Amino acid sequence: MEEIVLVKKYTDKDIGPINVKEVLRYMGQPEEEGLDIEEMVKEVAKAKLGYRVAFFRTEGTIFADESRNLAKVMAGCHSTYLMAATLGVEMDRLIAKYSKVSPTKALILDAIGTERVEALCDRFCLDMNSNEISRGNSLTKRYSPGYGDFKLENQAEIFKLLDCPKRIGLTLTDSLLMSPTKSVTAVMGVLKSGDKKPALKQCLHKCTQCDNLECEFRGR
Amino acid sequence: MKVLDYLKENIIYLDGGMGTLLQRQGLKPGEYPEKWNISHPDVVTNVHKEYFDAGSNVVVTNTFGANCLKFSHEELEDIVKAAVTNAKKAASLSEGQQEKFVAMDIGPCGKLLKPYGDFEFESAVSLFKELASLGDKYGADLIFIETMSDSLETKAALLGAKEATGLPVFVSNAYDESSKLMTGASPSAMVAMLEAMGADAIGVNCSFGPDQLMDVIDEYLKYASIPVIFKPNAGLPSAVDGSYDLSPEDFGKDIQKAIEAGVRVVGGCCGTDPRYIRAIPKNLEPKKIEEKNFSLVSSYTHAVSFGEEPILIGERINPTGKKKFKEALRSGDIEYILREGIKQQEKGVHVLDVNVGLPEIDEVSMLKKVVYELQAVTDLPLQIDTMDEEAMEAALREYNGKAMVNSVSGKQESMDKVFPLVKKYGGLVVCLTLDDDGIPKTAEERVKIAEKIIAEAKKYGIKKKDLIFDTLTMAVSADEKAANVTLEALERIRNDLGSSTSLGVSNVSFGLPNRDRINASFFAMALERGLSAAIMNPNSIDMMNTYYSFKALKGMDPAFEEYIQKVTGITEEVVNTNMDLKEAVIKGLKKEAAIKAKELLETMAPLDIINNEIIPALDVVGKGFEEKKMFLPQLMMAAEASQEAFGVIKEKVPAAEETGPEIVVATVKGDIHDIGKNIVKLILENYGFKVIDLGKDVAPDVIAEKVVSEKAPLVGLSALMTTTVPAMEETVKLLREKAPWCKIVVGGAVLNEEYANMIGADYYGKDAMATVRYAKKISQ
Repeated sequence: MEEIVLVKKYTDKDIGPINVKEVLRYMGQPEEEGLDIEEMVKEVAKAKLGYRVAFFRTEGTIFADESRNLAKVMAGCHSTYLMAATLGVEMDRLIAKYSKVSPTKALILDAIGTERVEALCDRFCLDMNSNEISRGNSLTKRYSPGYGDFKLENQAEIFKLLDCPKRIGLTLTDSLLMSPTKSVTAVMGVLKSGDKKPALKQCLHKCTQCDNLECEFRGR
Repeated sequence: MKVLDYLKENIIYLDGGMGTLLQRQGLKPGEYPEKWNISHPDVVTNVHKEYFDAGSNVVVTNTFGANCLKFSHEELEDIVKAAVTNAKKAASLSEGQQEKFVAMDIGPCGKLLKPYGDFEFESAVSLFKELASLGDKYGADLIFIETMSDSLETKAALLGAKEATGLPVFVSNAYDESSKLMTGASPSAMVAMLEAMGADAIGVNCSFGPDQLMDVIDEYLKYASIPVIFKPNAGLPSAVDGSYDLSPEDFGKDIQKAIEAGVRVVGGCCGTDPRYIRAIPKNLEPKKIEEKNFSLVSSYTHAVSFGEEPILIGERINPTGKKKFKEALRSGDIEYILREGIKQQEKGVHVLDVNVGLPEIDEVSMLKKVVYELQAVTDLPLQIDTMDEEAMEAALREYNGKAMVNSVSGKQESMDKVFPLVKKYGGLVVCLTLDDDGIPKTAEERVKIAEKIIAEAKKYGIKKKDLIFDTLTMAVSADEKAANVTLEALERIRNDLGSSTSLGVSNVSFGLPNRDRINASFFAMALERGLSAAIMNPNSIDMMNTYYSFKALKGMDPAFEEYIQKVTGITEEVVNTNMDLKEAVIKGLKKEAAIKAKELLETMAPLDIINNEIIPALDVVGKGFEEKKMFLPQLMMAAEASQEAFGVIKEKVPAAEETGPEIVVATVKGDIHDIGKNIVKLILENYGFKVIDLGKDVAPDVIAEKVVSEKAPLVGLSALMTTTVPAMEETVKLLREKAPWCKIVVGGAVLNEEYANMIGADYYGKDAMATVRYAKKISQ
């Protein structure tokens, strides 16, 4: 591949307000029920998260040989996006601080972190999707190492290709965990708009696009 | 000529980008450019030569990503040898008449350091040490550390380079769009740390184009008393193809502006090539570097400046006279200490004093650990407070920033011990105005000692601005004149010597009633006479009110915003006391639970409160959770509320301490997620179990050792990812061997019952309540 890694940076304003319903879902709690989510939302706003994405677009498909599930997603795609997104270490610091003060607040912050990094990915994918639409294309859903049979071991290659430590300050531990922890890597396919119904349906909840029916976080 | 001698009178011109030039010659993405030193020496040499031809004084070797994580030690040595040789050859081939030097280039190691990553500080120091000594061995003229985006890694690199060689070390960081390093440090924080550690030049590279980085450069120029480096990109990369938008001519003009503002070392980074270096005017007069008089300390996010507005240093992390704190130290209860730190930050202090000295504990390891753990939860700069120089060195070495050092005195022995450490690691030192003859009775003599300390520090190259004088607060109850002497000495040091001052305010009232009142008045008097910092108790409302009032009266609080908010804003929180303890616990209301417990203690026996109020409440919540009528956060809130109530009861009746069996919990080696483990710990404690929490990323032998030493009947292991389950299995195996009596419960996102059986655990804890039930079962 001869692709140049690009970096996109976003602000709180670009990503939009924290979706409290999603936060509650990640916490496994249907209603707010006396939880002070707002207090932690304010803490996160003060922290000024650094929303960063490193990515490139390349001809053909990549990693499709590594995973049958991914190959299915990528079927019919003529190009691929590879992306890595992170909120930066500030989110981890907040969670660590509150885990000493109140484990419940730490849990809320952890869920907010998940909501934020997913929102970042959604925003990025929307941007890329609108680029693609103007070229007569559309994007598939995101597919990440750890989903289905797409092994976590692929992280090492992704990090090398995207030069994550230098580009966005995202590193990989020896046991293939990402640090900062609130981070996502993913592959997305690009297909001709006429070829197939576009898979990135913004009107549907992400969970409806996922095969894991047993997942306890599956949206209702 | 040596590079530093040249720099004294001249601007140094660095080179520009390397990677893109090699790519144009056929380097493939994903291929290691460092290997080209060996495989394509002529190509690399030619790039260096083009830079020398364009007027560079310094080219950096093609070793940016070379380190022992990517290459074997033998390969690495071959690469560095070839890289330095290529650069030196280019210097001799070029016909440029300027002074030419070769810098050993060192980039980030690609790993995030602990506590948020998994790379040990000392491993990072060794990694950088190896690179610097190889550069030195093969003839580099200086070490160039660049594109660092984390302050602790920058420190490790500078320390490694300094320990490995006597060569000059230049250090350059990469900033993001908010003018901070990727992990949060501001330019002034970096200037404070790096200058104090003895970097020879510091500055900024990569990041953006010159124009976007001028704010960062201005901050460097404001605070730094050493040469400033500027090596930006060729503007911003296009969002489509990554090409940069600034022409060589515009780049040259922008760099010229930076030189006129005072920058002394200039070059280009991503997107620049020899044309950009050629475009920078070479006949510019260097601006003289002024000595700046800021007394700074820093953390991994920001610097605190002494001598302007008064600084509050929280004194609560100190065992003196605190029974609970001593107990926490003896039992290794770091969490208690961390909470003291967080609480003081919330009260508004700017720096935390850290003293963990107790005769019966190992102060070296404890101080190091507390400093490390505190820096994971608070971004305040720390004041390392110890008499033990070994503990001081251990803490200063890994401290992320420039610490305050408490303290040195005019005793020769003290200065001989402390100043070498401050010289090596940097620091703002609290200097006590006493010497071998004790504490002088007069102000003159105290000032004399201060002068002696300044002179001695100078021998080490420690500047006066890095000394802050404590003129020693003595109890007025023992000597009615004591406060006057202290204040007079303070004022003279501030005015005559021009130095900053600090006092431990609370000593003044020793032996008197209503101590807060006297302390606050003395504090006000000291502030008026020029006190720069107070070591004080931020829980004292009198002291805090004095501080905010002083600032308001001195015109340091525009529109009295802080005063109005902090002083008049102190109101009692409204608490709903219309419920009983049981309800407060079920609803997870901490404050109400504490108030109700206190009330009940007046009429009810402690054990009855626990058995008739708290336990039934917890049962309601536990059952609700198991029946899926209540959810995890509610279970946790109830647990936190009941712990508040327990806390109140324990304070009154220490015998109510938990006596249940001890359970060891840990997140296994390689796993850095601990939120689930923390939840299980909270709920277990709530059901009366004593939990020993070993934290995250814990090696199997550490877990086994603790289980054996505590004879723990149960251990809980957590792993979140498939890649860390093998570490869990290994831990289970070791536990079976070393602690056959111990039951093992495992949990975590990727586990299930089948998996748990497969790796040989006794029980799969699907959630916190399931683990509690199992713990109860085996403890019966």
